[in-house]
This record gives sequence, C-alpha cells and structure tokens, in this order.
Amino acid sequence: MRGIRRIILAGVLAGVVLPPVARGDENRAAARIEAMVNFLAKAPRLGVIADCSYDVLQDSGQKIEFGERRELTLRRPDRARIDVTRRDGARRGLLFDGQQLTAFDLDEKVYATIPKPGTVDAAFAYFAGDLAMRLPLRELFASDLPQELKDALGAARLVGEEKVDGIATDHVAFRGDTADVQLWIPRDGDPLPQRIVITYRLSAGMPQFEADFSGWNLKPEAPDSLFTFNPAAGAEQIPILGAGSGTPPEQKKK
Amino acid sequence: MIRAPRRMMVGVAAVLVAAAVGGGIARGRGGGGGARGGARGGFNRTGAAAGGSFGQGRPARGVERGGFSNRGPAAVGDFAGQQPSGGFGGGGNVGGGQQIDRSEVAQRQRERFGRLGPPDGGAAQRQDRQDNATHRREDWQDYADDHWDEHHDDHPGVAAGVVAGAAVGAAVAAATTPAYWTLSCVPTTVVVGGTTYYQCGSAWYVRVYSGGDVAYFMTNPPAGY
Repeated sequence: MRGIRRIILAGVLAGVVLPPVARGDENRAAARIEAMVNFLAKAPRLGVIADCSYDVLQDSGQKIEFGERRELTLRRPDRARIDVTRRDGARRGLLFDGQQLTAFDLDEKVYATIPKPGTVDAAFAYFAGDLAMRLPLRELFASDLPQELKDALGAARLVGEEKVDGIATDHVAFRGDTADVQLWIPRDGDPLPQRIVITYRLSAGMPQFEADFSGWNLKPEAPDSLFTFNPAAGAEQIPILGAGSGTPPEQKKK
Repeated sequence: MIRAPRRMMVGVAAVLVAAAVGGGIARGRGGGGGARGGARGGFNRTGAAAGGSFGQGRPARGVERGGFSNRGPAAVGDFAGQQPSGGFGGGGNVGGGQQIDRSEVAQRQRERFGRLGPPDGGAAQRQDRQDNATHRREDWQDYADDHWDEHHDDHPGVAAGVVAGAAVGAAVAAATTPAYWTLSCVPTTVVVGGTTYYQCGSAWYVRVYSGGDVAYFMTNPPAGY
C-alpha cells in the first residue's frame, strides 16, 4: 500500500509541479531577452553585420522580398556609422559624428547633412522619427532598449532551443502592440542576438523583417575619422523631405 | 490481488501526468498539430509557409514584370511598424487605429488635388508664373495638380511641411507637394548653383531624400529658365 501511495503522490506532485516548469520557461525567455537588451544598451562600442531581408506586399497582392547587408559601428555616446549594400548592389549609408547626421548614396552621388548635436540615440530618433528616414533595427541599438521592451517581456516565451549558424540559442518570442518579435539569443557567452524576425501583424499581408547577425565585435576600430563624412568629388548635397505633421508618407512605387 | 490495483494506480498516475503535461502544452498551442507542434513553447510549426512549396506553379493574374515596390512597413524594420514614436507594451500610443490605409490616403490626396486642380488644367497659372514671380509657389502647386493624374501611382508621399538639411539653392519650400520616385520623361538636366535640376516639359524637379530613398521633388525653374 505504501508503494501505491507513493505512486499516487508522484502523480499528484507531477500535476502540481509541471505548470511551474512552464512558467519557468516564460521567465527564462524574459530573462534571456533582458540580458540581451541590457548587454546591448550598455556596450560602449559595438560592431556587427546584419544580413537583412524584408517583405513588401505589392498592390497586386504579391509579396516580394528585398534584402541588404548593413554594417554597423557604434561608439557611444555620440558616434555611429552604418554602411548598407543592397542585394541589387546599391550602396548607401549614414554617419553621425556627434554634431551632424549625414545620409549618403554612393550610386546616386548625393548626400544630405542635418545638424543634430548630441547623442546617437537622439540623432537616430530624430532621423527615423521626425525625418521619416529608413533606419531598420534602430531600437535594437538604442540605449533605452531595456525601457522600451520592459512591458513586453511579461509575455515573452521560449519557443525552444535551436541552433543558428552552428550556435546553440534560445529561440524566444514576444509581442508588441503592432508587431511580433522573435529572437535567437546564444545560450552561452555574450547574449548578442544571432537572428531577429519582426512580423508586422496589423499590416496587410503581415510582412516580416528578418536579420541574421554576424561578426559581433565589442571592440571595433572606431577612430573619429570613421564617422567623418568626406563627400566624393561631384557628390551633390540634397535636402531631406520630412514627415512633418507626423503622418507617414504613403510609400508606393509604380 | 494487489498487482491489479497497483496497475490501475499506475494508470491513474500516468493519466494525471499526461493531463498535466498536456494542459501545459495545449494552452499555448492554439489548435496546433499535436505532437508535431510540440515545441517547448507550444508554438505550431505547421502552416502555409512551413511547407515551402511553390504551390501550383502558376503565376497569379496580373503578375507584374517589374517595377516592384520596395517600400512598406517591413522595409522600415522598426519594432512598431512605421510608428517611430511607438514603443512596446500596453499603454503606448501605438495601435491598429494608426495603421496606414494606403488606398484611403491615396484617395484623400486625389480628392484634395482634384479640388485644387484648375478647370483649365493650369494653363492660365502657368502663364501667370512666367509673368509674376511672386505667384510661383501657387503655380508650382498647380503643376503638382496638373501632373497628379499621371504621377499619382508613383509618388513617395506628400511632404507635410518639413525639409531638413542645408539650403541648396533650389526653391524647395515647405508646402504640401508631392515628390516622385521616378520622372515621367527622360529629363533635361541643368546644374545651377550646385543643384541639378530635372526638366520634364514645363515642370522642374530637384532630388530630395524621402523615407531613405532619393526622390524627385517639384520646384520652381532655376534662375534664368
């Protein structure tokens, strides 16, 4: 009879104990994301390559993918450089030297310069917000990332343990008000994301933005000259058309 | 006699365990496909895209041969879907109500430009512009009206009033005026004061950044033209 009791007890205990294990997974997901965002936000320097792709729903209803490689060098608090090479070969970029932002397009041979003394955070927020200029993954490299994601972490969940590019990661997911985010965070070493997928679930066709990260570098070479813009001969300075009232421009192309 | 009840008890315990495990997974599965979807977090791995099939291999009707747009919510790549000031979590100012209804925006713009469009197609204003430089902005607006029909599928948006960056000599003013991703002609180019002007018929354009790409923005003719 004692054996039977033990079995019953084990069964009951299993019923009691298992749900907390599930909750533990949620905690683990939040903890992993928290570790990542704190690590990213506090790094004095960062270098990384992001191979990005994104869907664009065409007027016909067809979804088309585009992509680009973005190389970022960040020297907090006031230096940043992003070099972009699109899959079609177009080369462009963005520089911030603590005083001004410069967007440049090497193929169109144009650039725009905007005075914005201060931090990278403020400059990037102005660039992407007030000027409505494209700056993917800006939030991921902002110092206030932990505050931005604080409320979303409560519902973060662990999808599973997965390998990405040979690296053992925790695949975690959380939801924002308008987008769902998935991250693959290494289980060992620095919690620097290997991959991110953002799904804009309220947009028609639920397009996704994806990025695979490589070459994370916490001590990139970052001399002042790296962030100083020197226009090529013949490059023309042009203005930036902002969003003004905050209404995003309709984004459409024939 | 004891063995039978023990087996029963083992069975009961197994059911209890199964129920506990099943309950934990089922809560998150959302109707997913049984053991196949049994990842730790309860996410379903099955779905239309999971198959990776090309389907029937037949192109959909109206498939485009080129000129695909590369702009849209996912191109922005932010965490909130074209809501720069938005954040995560509840209580933010990001919501479905702020999503862009592109057709509605386009319709609004067509209506607005339609109303502004002069009945004579703007010919009178064009003449005015040549006669009176002080009316240039209005005329320039009229040009926008004139060209709206041929361009309305081709513009990056209506500038709501901000042009940032150094003044570049061009009369790029803060006005509700459309810019275009492409021009409707092979333009004549003129460089005046370091700025390249593009001429299509009677309309003049300069290049501007819009949403991260280079677009053409209607402007007054350069001095001397």
